[in-house]
Amino acid sequence: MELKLKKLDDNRYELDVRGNVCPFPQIFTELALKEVGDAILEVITDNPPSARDIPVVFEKKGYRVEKKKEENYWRLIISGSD
Amino acid sequence: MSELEEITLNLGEISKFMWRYSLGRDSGMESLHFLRIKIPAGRIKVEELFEIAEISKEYGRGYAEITDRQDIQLHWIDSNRALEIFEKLYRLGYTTDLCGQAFSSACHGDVRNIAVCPLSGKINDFDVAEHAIKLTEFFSGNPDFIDLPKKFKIAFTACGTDCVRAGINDLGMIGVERDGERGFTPLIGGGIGATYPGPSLGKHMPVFVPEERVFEFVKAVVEIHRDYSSRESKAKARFKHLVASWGVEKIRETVEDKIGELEDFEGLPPLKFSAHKSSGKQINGLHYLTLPLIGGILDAEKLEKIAELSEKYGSGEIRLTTTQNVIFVDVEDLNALKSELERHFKIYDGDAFYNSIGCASNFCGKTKDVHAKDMLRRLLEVAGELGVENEVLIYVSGCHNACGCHHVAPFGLAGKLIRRDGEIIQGYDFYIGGDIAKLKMGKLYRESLTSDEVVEVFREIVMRYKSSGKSLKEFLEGL
Repeated sequence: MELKLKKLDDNRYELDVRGNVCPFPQIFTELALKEVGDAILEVITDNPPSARDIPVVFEKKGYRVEKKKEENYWRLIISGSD
Repeated sequence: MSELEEITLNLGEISKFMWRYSLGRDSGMESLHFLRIKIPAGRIKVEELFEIAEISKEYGRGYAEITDRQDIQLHWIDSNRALEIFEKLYRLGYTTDLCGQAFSSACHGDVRNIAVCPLSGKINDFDVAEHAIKLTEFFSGNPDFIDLPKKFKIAFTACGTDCVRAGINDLGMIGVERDGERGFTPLIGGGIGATYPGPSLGKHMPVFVPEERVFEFVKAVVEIHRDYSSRESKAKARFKHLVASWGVEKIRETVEDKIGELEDFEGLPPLKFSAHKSSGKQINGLHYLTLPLIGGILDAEKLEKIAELSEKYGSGEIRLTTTQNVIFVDVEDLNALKSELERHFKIYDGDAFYNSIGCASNFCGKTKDVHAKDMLRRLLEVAGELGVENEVLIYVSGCHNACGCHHVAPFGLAGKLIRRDGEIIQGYDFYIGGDIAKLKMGKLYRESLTSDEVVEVFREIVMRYKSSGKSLKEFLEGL
């Protein structure tokens, strides 16, 4: 099984994990961050517990996370760890 | 698209966990996630019980509870360590609920742990567990059944009682015999949560499903839920809504279109509720013994002790009940087991301690103090004081989602927040007169009581009942 990280621009990727139950959006985010290096990662999830957890978990790890509600999903914009 | 515009993430070993495992959302007791481990047919070997106790100690602060669908539920699970836990469960052969209810739309419902008479095969030789186990293996992680409009609950019993609350399952399979042949006659569309069309009791589909057709029958019914239940909104997505819209006859016709004709079977057998309490003789001459647990609350040390005692006095198998208790089976020396249990557990006297249930509202965050399980404990104490512990049955839900099945008990409570003296505090609605085995819904007796008022009202009802000269059932009907 695999997931695709879509390149949005030179320094930005998008990971769409809609339809996945908790804690898989968080687990996939962890995997994706290892792949994108210093680039910004935008995670799309429609799973409320994951939308709650991802900012907390990755801010603890030193990332900045911006959370935006868009229609019936969240966009979590994660940028470089300090 | 060039290679540079897309990165492929290989999920490797993680793939084996997908659609078989999830964490549920907690919002109370400082717990963020629960882990609801499905125990197929509620049967667990001591080796596995020891392992779950270890998982509880390492990941769940040593706490555990038995749910009213025979799962073992842990709390305080750290999502960062979920894969470690899933790997341990995978090795044990266990899966979890998918907990898709967190989504805002009607999707990712799964088949929940299939409830089974906990003494099936021990007090009769019609063992229904094999059906539940085969169906669990089929539905768990099956890509065709992981995106139901909403969860689907199934129960089997054939002991002559309704020990699984069949009538509040989406599909309750009641064991029957017809001309010497064993099979089931189903109740469909039960569900007492607040979603459309409101709390509903199962309706009898008057057919006979012989044992060899159980798998295809259940699969067909779940497919009908998957394909025809509403996906318009979560509130309309339970199977009970489809049953109410279509009617039993149309559901039957649709099942028969899929699997062929089913024979008629009129007359649902009369059932009584049973929690398979205390102890009794099995058909093999050995005994079972039920350990009552208020609200199903345990901890890792107690799980280990249960496993140890089962190894020492029984066959090394434990059975979990839908009233949140534990049953030791194949016990030879009942008195020795009883006396050793008394050293480690509080053994309550009275049916109410075996029959009653309370949901985990303290963890899901639906209640403030007094929580559902604590409210249950208080009322059980009062029942003991008043000497009616063998007569009452109490179900407590923390909210109107009815996880504690409050509608179908003689005494049922549903939590809600109420305003008193300008403050928002925990309150309860008080229901009376429900009877799951008779498919009778309770009625709302008093609304918006504080926990102290609940106790007062309970006392008052019991005192009036005791001087009435009537049976409790007659008395509650007259209130």
